[in-house]
Amino acid sequence: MSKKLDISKENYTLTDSELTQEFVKMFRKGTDVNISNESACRALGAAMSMEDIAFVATNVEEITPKQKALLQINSNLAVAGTDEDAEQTIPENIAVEDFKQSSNKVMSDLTLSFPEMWEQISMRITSLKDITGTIGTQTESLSNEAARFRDEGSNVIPAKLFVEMCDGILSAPNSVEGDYLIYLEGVRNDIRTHISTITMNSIVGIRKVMKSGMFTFGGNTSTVANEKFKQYKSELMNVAKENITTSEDGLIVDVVLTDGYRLSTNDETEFPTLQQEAQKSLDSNESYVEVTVDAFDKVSLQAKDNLEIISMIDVVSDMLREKSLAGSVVHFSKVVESLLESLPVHSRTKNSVIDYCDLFIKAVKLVNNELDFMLYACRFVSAHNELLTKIKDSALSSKNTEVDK
Amino acid sequence: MKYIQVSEDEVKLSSQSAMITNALRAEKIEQECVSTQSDNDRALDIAQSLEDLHIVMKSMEAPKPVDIALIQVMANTAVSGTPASATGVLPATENFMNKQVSTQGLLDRIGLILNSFTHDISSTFAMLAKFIRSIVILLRENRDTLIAMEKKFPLPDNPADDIPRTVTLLTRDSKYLTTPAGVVSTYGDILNAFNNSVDSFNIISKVNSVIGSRMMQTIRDIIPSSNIDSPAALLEKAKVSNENLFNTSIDLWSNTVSRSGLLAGRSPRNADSATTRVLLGCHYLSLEFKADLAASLVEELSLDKRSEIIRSFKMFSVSECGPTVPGEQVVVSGITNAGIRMLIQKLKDFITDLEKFSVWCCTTAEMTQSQCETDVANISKYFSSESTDKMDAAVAEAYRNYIQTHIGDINSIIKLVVNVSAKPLRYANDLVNGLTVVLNNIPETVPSGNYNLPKIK
Repeated sequence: MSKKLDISKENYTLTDSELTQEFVKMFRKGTDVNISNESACRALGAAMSMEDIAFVATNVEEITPKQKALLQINSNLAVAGTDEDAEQTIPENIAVEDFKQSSNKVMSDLTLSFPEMWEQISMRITSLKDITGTIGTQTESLSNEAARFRDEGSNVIPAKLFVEMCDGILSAPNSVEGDYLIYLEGVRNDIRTHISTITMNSIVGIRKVMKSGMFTFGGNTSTVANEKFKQYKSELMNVAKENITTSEDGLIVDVVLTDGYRLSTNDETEFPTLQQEAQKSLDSNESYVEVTVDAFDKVSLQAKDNLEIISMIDVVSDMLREKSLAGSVVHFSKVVESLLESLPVHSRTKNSVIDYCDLFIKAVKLVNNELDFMLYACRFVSAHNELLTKIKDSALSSKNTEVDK
Repeated sequence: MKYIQVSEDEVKLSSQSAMITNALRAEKIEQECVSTQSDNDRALDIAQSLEDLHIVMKSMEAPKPVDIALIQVMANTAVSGTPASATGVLPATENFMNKQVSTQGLLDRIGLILNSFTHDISSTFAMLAKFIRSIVILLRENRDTLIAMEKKFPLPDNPADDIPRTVTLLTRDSKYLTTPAGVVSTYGDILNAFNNSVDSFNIISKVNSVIGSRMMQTIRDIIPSSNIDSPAALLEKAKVSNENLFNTSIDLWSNTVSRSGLLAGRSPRNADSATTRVLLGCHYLSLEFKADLAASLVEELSLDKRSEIIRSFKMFSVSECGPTVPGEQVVVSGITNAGIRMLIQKLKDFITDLEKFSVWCCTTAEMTQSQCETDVANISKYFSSESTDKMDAAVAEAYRNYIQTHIGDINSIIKLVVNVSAKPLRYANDLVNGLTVVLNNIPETVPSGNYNLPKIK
């Protein structure tokens, strides 16, 4: 299994160039994770297709040349856009067994690649920890200066500044072009809300998924009584987003919830819990929000006076205080560690593996997207540290001019 | 010397957030290029498979239920692992009961895929040009940092006063402080590693310029920029297009290999100098669009480890070494102000070379983009029912084959441009960044002795 995260080291402040490099490193790791995840999705899809082909081919008594050609096209499509050779994946001399074997191999390769994917996630978190540490230190110092500034200037002094933000990183739903404070407040709420989702729900959701996966793979084989199943099915249908399916084994109840998570069980005693969880998911109406903001927009905003400027500093430094951002990173790293521990080493049936792969891929996407959000949040804070220093300097200069008069 | 046009406003970025923004912008563009490339590879493979299906369907009188089931699986396979819908790739399966509807439906789908592919290719070249510009901005930022850094290390009047000192550096990205022999321990180690990397890059940029020029000529030869409506001319071009690319590859390969002395009686296994390995790696990549050919040549030369060759292509010796723990202390002796200034000067010269190389890369990307744009309009009409009806079946098929081959060639060219321009540039930029960080960490120390300090009036 993949090595554990090292979160014990103290943060230390990075220089500007180093900080930039850390951002780049983290971004690249994110790209690597995305690529691995996409490949995993493809591999899973290919394996499932091969299972389907094997299923269709099983019903053919004798394969005609044209059907053989269709199977060959299928093989080519299964490896489309990859470096794989269709003939290596599925031998030329096509037989039903070959498809099954190929599917097994793809699935087995896929499972072997999981620890590496988690490793990449872990490295992103380590990098993020350094970034938040450095930005935290910088923000703290800025915040102290802001406090001093507040003490010195109790009068409201006009400070009309136009600020061009080349880092319009987070598009707050309440943002109003030109009104900086409202924009900032919106972003703060965005970050807070999102981070609370990370710590409270998403992580629990992933863990739940992984645990249910473990339960499914390693669970006992007690048969679910049909009557019992029917009874719960109608209730579960009310809360399931898509539907409830049973596996080929006829034992596993699989519910897709509104937030995309899945709960599975093959034990009738688990039904009440499962239903309860499903209902909770429906009631909370929580769904994972993907970050799709453009990081390079330009926004022109205006500050009105020195007090507004001080508020800005407070708002930004607030984001790192209250254990919102920095605290989440540490929390997140612990969660990933526990997920690493919960990865099952092997599974029992083909369907279990397919299910597990599916869950794993979802979990990776979820974790990676959350890290992306935090990366954006870090950039926002970093950009504001600099921005606010400039605003503070300008405001001080206005104040001095006022005093001179 | 022509420089890439980057406005002064874009260049003058010294602040922390601007540095981060620029660096991440370059990463983002590169990521988009890679992602589009991967989508394009897949789109082409799918188009080819649909063409195969089209051929099978034409000869199939009445599909059996099993055939329909296999076609349905096919549609699912084509979109597996993507958000695309199966019906977007294949006509509805019930249409497969009607031969004419299904075959024309397939052609329509192929036309759509290829048309969208050509649009994507054009935008990928534009993105590549944008990426290269972003790298130039980053390099210029580094040059500004280096210029500012020089002031930290003044030269004494008497060189003897510039006494070598030992400094302790804290590693962040440790690969710039390691060599194949281990962690650097002297100034000489850093200088050697840097020289090796730069030498390798210079060789590769020269060779790549040659490859690029030759490839561009070939592209112009095979891409029908004006008259695609002449079937005879088109078929003629179709015949020679693959052959041209093939011959160009062989030609370039043989020239360079003979120049490197590999075929002059020396065993490739023994000729493992950095230069030779770089050349091999470079040519492996130039031949990537003929992967089988490259593989057989590699085998012929007894170099059985492909990955090793690709690694050689990356060639930056300092960036290929094993990890040390970030935050670890590295003690380096023999540091003088003169030595640091020499390294800074070398880095600045390297940046100038990279800018020249960037001009070539940008030109290649932009020229190829304009070639691609001439093709966009021609793609879909050869897959429309109108043109199929009007044309003789054999000619229509020849047209389609030609367009697919031609599009495949363009796809290969984009890979070539990425491999010989964007990737080396990024590696080089990483090297400059890494070493700038290392140099920046060297504590400012004024050696004893006299300096040419400005006199106080």
